[in-house]
Amino acid sequence: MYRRLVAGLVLAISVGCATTGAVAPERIQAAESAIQEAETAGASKLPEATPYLQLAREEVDQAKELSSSQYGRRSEMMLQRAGEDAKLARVLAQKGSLDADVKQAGERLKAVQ
Amino acid sequence: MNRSALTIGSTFAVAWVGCATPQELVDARSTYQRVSSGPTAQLNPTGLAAAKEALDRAEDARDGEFRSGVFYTRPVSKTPDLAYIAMRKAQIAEVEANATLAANEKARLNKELEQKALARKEQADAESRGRLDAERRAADAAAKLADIASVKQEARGTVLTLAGSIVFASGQYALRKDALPKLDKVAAALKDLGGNTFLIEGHTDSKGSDQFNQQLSVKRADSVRDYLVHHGISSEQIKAVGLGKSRPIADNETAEGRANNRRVEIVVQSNAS
Repeated sequence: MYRRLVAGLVLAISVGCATTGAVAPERIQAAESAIQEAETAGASKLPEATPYLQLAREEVDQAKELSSSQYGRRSEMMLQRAGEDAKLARVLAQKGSLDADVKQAGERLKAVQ
Repeated sequence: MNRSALTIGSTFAVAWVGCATPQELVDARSTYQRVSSGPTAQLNPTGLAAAKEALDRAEDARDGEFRSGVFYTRPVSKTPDLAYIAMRKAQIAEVEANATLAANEKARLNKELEQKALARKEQADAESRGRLDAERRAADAAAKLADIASVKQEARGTVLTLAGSIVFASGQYALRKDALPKLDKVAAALKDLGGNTFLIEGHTDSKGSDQFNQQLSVKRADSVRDYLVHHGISSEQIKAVGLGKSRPIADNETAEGRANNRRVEIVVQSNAS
C-alpha cells in the first residue's frame, strides 16, 4: 500500500517534469542576438561584464540541449535567463564606456585648467 | 515505527524542505530591496518597475507551487528561474541608472570643456586683435617718425636716430630751440605707441676724453628723456642711457663720420607678445 503511494508520488513528479516541446528557433535567435549586442557593446573586453556574457552563452547552449529533450519548458526559461544575463553584460559594457569617457573628459579638463 | 511509516515520513520531510523559499528568490528579494531604496527609484523607475513585476511573478510562482505541493527542484519548479530573472532585472535597472548618472557627468564635463575652449578662443582672438592693433599703431608711428628722422628696424626694436648736431649745440646737452618742434612730433608719435617702452641712447664721436664723452652722452640722453616725459610720455615707459663713443656707426676719422656718430637713438621696444 505504502509502496504504491510512494510510487504514485514519484510518477506524478515525473509527469510534471516531462513537459515536452522544442523551443521555437526564434527564441534561441533572440537570445543569441542579445549576446551579439553585448559583444558589440564591448562586454567581452570589460572584466565586470565578461562573467555575465559567459553565463548567457552557457545558458543558450543548455537551452539548445534541453530543447531537444523532454524539458522544453526549462529550455524556455534558460533562454530568458540568457537574455537577461546578456542584457546585464551589455548595460555594464555601456556604463563602462561612459565611465571611460567621464575619466577622459575629467583628465582633459584638468589639463586645460 | 515500521519501515513503511518511515518511508512516508521521509518523503514528506523532503517535500517540506523543498517547499522552503529557494535561494534565488531570497537573493532576488534582497537585490530588489537594495536597488529600490537607492537612486535607481528616481533615475530608472521603468527598469525598477520591470524588476518588481518579475519579482511578483516569481513570488506568485512560489506561492502557487507551494499550494500545489510542487517541489522546488529543477526542472519542475519555475520559481528559481523566475527569481533569477527578477534579480537580473533589478541589477540591470541599477546599472542603467548609474549609466544615466555617468552620461550626465560626461555631458557636464564636455560642456565645461566646450566653455573653456570657447573662452580660450576668445582670449586668443583678443590677443590677436591686440597684436594687430599694436602692429598697426607701430606702423603708423613708424611712418610719422620716418618723416622726422631716420628710422630702422632692428632686432632690438624700431630705432629712431636723431642727429646730434640738430638736437644739441656742439659740446652741449641742452636741447636746441629749433629742435623742439621735431621732438614734439617724436613725443606725439611715441604716445601713439601706447604700452611700448622706449630707450633713449646718447652717443658721441671719438673726439675728447672717454669720461667727457660718456658724461655728455648721459646728459644728452637725459635731456631728451626729460623733454619727452614733460610732453606726455610716462616716466615708467622711458629710460635713458649714455653710451659715449662705444658704438660708432661711421668712421670717426672723417668729419662726416663723426657727425653721424654724434646722435641720439630712441629704441622702441614692443611689449606685444
